[in-house]
Amino acid sequence: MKIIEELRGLREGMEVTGERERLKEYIYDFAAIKVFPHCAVFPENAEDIIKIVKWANERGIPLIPVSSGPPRIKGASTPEIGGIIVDMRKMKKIMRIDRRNRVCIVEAGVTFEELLPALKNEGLRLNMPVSPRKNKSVLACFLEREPVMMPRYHWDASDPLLCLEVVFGTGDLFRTGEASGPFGLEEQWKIGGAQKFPLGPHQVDYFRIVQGAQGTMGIVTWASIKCEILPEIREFFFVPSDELKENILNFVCRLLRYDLVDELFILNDKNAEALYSDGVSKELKIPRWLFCMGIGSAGRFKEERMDYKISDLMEIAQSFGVKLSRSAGDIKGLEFYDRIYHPSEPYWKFKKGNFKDIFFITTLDRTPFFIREFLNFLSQEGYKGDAGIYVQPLVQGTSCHLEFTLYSQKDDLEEIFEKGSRFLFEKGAFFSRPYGIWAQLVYSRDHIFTESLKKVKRIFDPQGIMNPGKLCF
Amino acid sequence: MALEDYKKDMMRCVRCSVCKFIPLSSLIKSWRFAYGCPSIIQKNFHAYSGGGKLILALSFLEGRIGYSPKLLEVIYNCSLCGMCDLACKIGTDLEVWEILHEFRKRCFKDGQAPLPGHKPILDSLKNYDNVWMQPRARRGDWAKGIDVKDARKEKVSVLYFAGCTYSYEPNLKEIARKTLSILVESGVDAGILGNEEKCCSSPAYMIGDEETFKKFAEENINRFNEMGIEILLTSCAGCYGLFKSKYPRLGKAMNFKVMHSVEYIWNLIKEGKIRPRKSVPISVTYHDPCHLGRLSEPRVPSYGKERYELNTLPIKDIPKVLGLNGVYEPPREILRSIPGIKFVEMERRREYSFCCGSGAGARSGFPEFAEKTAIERLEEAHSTGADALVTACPWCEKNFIDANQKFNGNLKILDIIDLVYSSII
Amino acid sequence: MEKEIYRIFEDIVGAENISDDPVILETYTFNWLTEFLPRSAPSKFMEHRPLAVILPGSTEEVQKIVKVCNAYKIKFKALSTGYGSHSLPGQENVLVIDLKRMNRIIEIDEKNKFAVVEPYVVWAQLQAEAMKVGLFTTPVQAGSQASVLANLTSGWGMNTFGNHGGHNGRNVLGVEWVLPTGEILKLGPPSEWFTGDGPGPSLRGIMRGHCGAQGGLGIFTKVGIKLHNWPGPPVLETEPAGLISTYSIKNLPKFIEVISPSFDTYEDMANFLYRAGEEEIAYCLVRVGSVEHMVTLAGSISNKEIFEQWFESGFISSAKELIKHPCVAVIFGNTEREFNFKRKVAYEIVEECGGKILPVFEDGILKKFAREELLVALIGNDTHFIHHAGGFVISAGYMGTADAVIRHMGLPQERLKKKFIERGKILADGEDSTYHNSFENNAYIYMEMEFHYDAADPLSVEDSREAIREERETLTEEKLGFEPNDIALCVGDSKMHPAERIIEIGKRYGNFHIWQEKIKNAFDPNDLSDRSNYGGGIYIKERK
Repeated sequence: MKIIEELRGLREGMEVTGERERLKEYIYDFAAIKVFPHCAVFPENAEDIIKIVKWANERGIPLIPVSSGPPRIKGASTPEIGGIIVDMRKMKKIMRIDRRNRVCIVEAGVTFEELLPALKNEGLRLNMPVSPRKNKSVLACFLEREPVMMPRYHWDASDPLLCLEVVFGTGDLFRTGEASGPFGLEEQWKIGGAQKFPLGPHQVDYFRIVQGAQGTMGIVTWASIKCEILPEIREFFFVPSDELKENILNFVCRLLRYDLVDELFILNDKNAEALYSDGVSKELKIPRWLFCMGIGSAGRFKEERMDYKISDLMEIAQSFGVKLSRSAGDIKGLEFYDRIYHPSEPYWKFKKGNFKDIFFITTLDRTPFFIREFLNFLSQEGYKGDAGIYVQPLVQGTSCHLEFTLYSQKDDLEEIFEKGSRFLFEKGAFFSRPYGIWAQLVYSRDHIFTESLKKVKRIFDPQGIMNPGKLCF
Repeated sequence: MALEDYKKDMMRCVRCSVCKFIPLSSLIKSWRFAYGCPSIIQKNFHAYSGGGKLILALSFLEGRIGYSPKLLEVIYNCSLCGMCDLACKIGTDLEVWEILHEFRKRCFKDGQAPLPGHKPILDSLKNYDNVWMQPRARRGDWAKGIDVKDARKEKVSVLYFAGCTYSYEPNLKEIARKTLSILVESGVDAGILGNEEKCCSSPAYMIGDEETFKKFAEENINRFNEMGIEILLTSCAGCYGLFKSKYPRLGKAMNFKVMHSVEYIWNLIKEGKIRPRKSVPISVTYHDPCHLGRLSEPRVPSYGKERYELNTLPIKDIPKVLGLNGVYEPPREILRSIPGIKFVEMERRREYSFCCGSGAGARSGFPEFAEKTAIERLEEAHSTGADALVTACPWCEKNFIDANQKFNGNLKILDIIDLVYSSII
Repeated sequence: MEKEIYRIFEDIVGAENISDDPVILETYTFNWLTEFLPRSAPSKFMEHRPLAVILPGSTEEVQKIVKVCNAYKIKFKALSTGYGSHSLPGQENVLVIDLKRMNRIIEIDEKNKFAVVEPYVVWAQLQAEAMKVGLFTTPVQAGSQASVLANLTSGWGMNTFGNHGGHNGRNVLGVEWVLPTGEILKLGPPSEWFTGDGPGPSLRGIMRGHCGAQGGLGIFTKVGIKLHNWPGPPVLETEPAGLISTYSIKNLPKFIEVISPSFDTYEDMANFLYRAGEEEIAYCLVRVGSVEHMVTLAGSISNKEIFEQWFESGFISSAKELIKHPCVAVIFGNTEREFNFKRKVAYEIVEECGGKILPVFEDGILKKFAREELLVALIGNDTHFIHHAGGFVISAGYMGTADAVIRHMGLPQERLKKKFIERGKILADGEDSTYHNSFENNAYIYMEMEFHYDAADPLSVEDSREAIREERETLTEEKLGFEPNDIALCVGDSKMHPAERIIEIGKRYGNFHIWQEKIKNAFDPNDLSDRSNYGGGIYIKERK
């Protein structure tokens, strides 16, 4: 119990728990060996975190940052070798919503369920993933570079994450980008700053070192997030199809050049069903493939904007021999639109039982290849379950998130998941977000990159206390 | 007039590298044909660019470097085509070309020039009044059989000046003959000086031999004035450019108009005195010679004279000359007037035409440079899909013809007069 | 350099591609802004000549060169177009690696909207090829004769078309990077270029931040760059114009219009920028300072003509009554509907924000200039006219939200520059010469304070150095600005070398200079990649 006492001693009143029942929630269900953390500490501000990290350096004890509620779907924020969970769910301040500059600043523990209504009140919204978990930390989501639905507002792979405040593994506090100083946030606000420009300070993008790091470089206390205008009027269209036809993909490719549609992604029937159904009603009629596109418009010119966009969209669709529809089988467009922006609890994929995602980055024109190859693979492996497919163009169409979801009513996905991951890796899949086995695959292939990453780790976490066992550390 | 006059301009260079390319605001049309400077394409080190040579001039004046084989090579491995001057002047008042030329004059003054490859040219001028070491007596032979006035004896309105290359080069004499024939057939009061015609001295001028230039230029101006001609007409762009833009610097009155044959021929076509009637079915592209184009516009150097306004705005009391008013339209109009011709432009054209590589002593001093530059241009011509590359300068033609033997593009090299002649006879 | 080592380099690149001749070296010793480096007397030349200049032709040659440098402990610095003193070595005995021969466009992926280029592909070249397939670039203010790769990996990233195309620090995709120790690091998948992030954290963050390492962390040999849609024709023809700009568009493309609204106050202008950003109407959204500043940038007419026609004639003084805060917006549509909509909205929000599109730009002599010549100026991006008065310096330039940056730049500039103009040694082109670009639908802007001096006049140079020092200290004292992301950090002043100033600033901003030094030590343990413009340079105490 000494560790728990020491932690409690860092600041009077700081919650620390060693109760096994409470610590259960930090375990990754798919871990081969389920290791419990030593305890969990609940800091309430950056000063708490600095003390915790400095203490952990002195003691050489691992720290695992957590800011979302369970379940731990990817295993990034779960202990490999024990250690202390630094659970930031008490840090729940929405520090600022700036309508004029279209930015908000949130602490680590703020969830989508909490933030979205607050933004809505200011006429703003997020470029966000499809129906995230209600208890998912907004900050954690964007730190993980989760795919977002609106490629035209995705200017950089790091978007919509902007500036952040981080306690590095050394215990040093640092603010990135425009937030780096001088003075505190309030003073910056007084002189008109809005912590919007993410680069720097100077010759390093510190935020990029922390983003995607799965908590191995430091602990982020708050971040500024780019917001978009909330539409006052909306339309949602599908191109329903039985196949992943070339002309439709070319149409999507063309749309990525223009500023016409906002949300733009592709789902197969399995995923659409999981997302749309209420899990109770009768089986839905859903086409095999749904190419999904949303248009929103706000402000003084909203109707005129909507008019020209829809007219242009229809014309372009026609030129590709594509027919747009406001519904796809039993799925109604505007209801679907609501669904994708509504945080789900439980997470929508659980409607189909257990699931494992395999996802990676490629380009839109290569997705048919990977889809064909992987479905053949599943067939050859005798996989009997459903396979969900989600194709999300990113970074204004320069790349694409491709995600396969393996569904099962049983707890039998581990083997097919591993085999499937290896298969896709050999086919050229780029696991840019390397969880679990993917980390072994990617880091063993490129030793120069791995060594370079380790150099960075040694700078920002020389003692290696931050989430050991993740990535290549 | 000294290199020192331009020290301020040298200091105002910012090493932006604009001088390596054709003017950006012409809107470059491809990766392949973006460059304007033949020297930097081949040599790569920054020293070889226009800006590079400005830096070297400053460095030289500040005593940081002295004469060396490398310095002379960098200075003279350049056809003084003026593209760097144009590209720079799009945004500044720097007199890049003047500085490059002054540097050559300085080399001469200090006894460091002529280079071995240039000495024969100057000797030839001294001994034969032409650059080809050919006897003076045979200068007029190219016109044998053409019933033209002898301007040595008779007054003429138009003096047709053949120039050294058209006079002596066996493959090119025909161009002068065709031009003269057209004039005569059209009833133009034209004549030639025959063996009394002397070199315009462009090669001497370009190499930096001010003394030889002055001697020839003064003699020529005096002669032309005495003759009472109205028009000095030439088919050689080199001669044209020198008469038009450099002779006036001597400050002597030139009581005649200088014209190139493309201007004159176009006037004849417009006036209906010649009618291109016969179809010449060929696709062509046109190469604007530097000295007929951007370097033909008279320009007055500042010699470093300037004053400040608005605290630090340096004002040179000279017009800004970009070469926009060179002879561009007449050759194009001629080509458009000939039936059957399909005319397609190259990307680098008009005032930003890419040099043939032979000018300013580059060919005699650095033949490999001249050849590679010509091949660069032939590749561009070939890329248009044209059957022929047409131009209006014997130096360009000679260099293209010679390089064409190494180039496998099956391009014909023609003078514009060839096409006119074919269409009217 | 020892003869034997020289020969090794000759073996790698060929004798014609290396030189230690002083004539060659001098042209890698001279640059823009050298006069601002703190020395007893300003000079157009750096303090040190390079050891030699070498021209590799491939990544393999670059790698070999770097490995030889490591073997023989030779410092090196790479450059491409090399514009600005920060491109050149700041220490002695540095081998300059000129990447001029590595000039290929490796690919343009039309479907996925990106290109891959080698170091000496310049913006004009990439743009010409991109336009052929309906794509466009984000060419930087240094001009389209500058290197694409250098800006993305080692420079800044502010650019004229960033409102639609983004900031170049955010347009970087895959990167091929020869580390200071000679290994080749690939950012992104092994042989693909569509991303440079991951696996895991993005090492793009080590490569650059607000600006790049400026030669201090090795050599970049290929980069993937995000392109954006070009609604216009594959080729644009020009013809010589007459008014201010040398060239004008010959056939104006359909569905494009350049508008030049003017506002009475900075606040009104800021409101317009925000509205234009929200309504997403502008392909390009920039400001070129006051009317006299704009006019003095008209490089294709001579300074004499500028002075006589615009200043002496009284035109400027009357124009200033009407035009206080001018902006330029390019409205561009993919279809007639889109264009008409954006145009209508643009005009309405100009009015909504209290601005005017002046009749002289609509009907008068300036209509052709405003509509066609200005378009060529923006697309051709031939910006070396900024030097036409003999010298140009950015004294401070920040990225941030429009309100903040205008407050840090626009308002102080008027006050500070007035003082400097009155001293008589910098160009009197109006107190307000701030230049601005909007990015990503005005998510943030870049604005800079700038002034012109004459590099050929030692007094003008001295006064400028002093003015920059004064300006910096005033802004710091008044707690204005965002110093670490100041582009002018590459410019010295009368007191400090840029690297010294970075140390001063770093202390106020999380000690970033020390973090950078740790990165430097980790990636360049032999300290061979010239550190002069990386972090605290040669001045930092924490150097290993």
